[in-house]
Amino acid sequence: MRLSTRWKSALRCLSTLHPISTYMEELLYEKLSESEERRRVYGVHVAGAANLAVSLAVYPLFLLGVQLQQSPRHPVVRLPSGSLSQSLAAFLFTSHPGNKPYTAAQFYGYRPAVLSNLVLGSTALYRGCLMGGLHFYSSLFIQSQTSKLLNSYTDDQLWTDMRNKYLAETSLAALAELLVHPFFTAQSRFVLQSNSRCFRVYKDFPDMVRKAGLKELYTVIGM
Amino acid sequence: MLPKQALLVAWQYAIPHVDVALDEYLGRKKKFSALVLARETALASLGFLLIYPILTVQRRAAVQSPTLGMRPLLSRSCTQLAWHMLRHEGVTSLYRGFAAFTLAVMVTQVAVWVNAMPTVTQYVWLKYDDSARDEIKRIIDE
Repeated sequence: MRLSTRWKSALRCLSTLHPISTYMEELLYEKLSESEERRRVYGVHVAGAANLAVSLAVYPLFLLGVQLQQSPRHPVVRLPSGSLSQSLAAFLFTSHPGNKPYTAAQFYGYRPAVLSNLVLGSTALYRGCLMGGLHFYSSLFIQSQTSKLLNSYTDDQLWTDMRNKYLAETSLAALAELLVHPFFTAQSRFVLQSNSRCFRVYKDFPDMVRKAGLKELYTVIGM
Repeated sequence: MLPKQALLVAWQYAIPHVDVALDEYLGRKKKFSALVLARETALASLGFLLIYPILTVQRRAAVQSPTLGMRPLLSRSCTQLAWHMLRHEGVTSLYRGFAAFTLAVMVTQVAVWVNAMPTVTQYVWLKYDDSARDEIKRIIDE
């Protein structure tokens, strides 16, 4: 660690008054108590805001992952572009969703997915963000609240057993997932559908519930 | 819904044991170092990455619908769909988008860990106390 000249002279002056170790310790404890106080007052809000900001910043990466998860891996058909009909076929069978707005987008790799998202505009990077956030944070919230409630109403002895605790936590997580699973399906579908207003399959979540039905939203809950 | 949650909770329970084993193996007891942060981030992220194939199958199944604009219906069963993916697309199909997802999870976990630390000030002062004391003594002795 390099110290500036100003710091060096300040430390020399201070060391004549106090031994350096005592001074450093006092300063450290002072800083610790200050930060503890600040953390007690603002900590939760600051941590929440920072988490939200980071989640929003990295959401396009999650979106990219989801887009590729949803795309089946097939060998890329490379059609020769000799005749007009062959060129037309190559154009129609291209992976770019813009050419086939009523067909779900399918990406063979990161490059087409990134390019497609960039072409569709900045809002395309946050498709399904609200649903994804609701799914992730609601399940965490439900899990923590039910866990707290169970802890307060049950015997401590029960929770000391590792197996019981594991089973209870897994069941609570499953229960939370049961409640918020429609948001997961909604996020997946919003990511897949066209970003263009004219070609959207579902306008919003209520529209999705109306068109698809709850049974379809609870699909693959078994995993 | 149980396999995903069971795996995640099991991994959360395993983290302290892995932590202790790693500590013993590496022989490092020093806290608040970049290595500890990296290690804890990697451990926390690994839980999400363990369930990645399950997530992929879920994602693929969630977008199957007779509605125009969604994927055509292959199977309602998760196991059948997973088997179909393995048979026709290979194991790599279960790990599509893995790099982007990993990067996103790692960044989020780093943020969670930095937030979990008391404050950045405390972190800096503890580091300062550890590393700079000898140098300060040397400067004063000169």
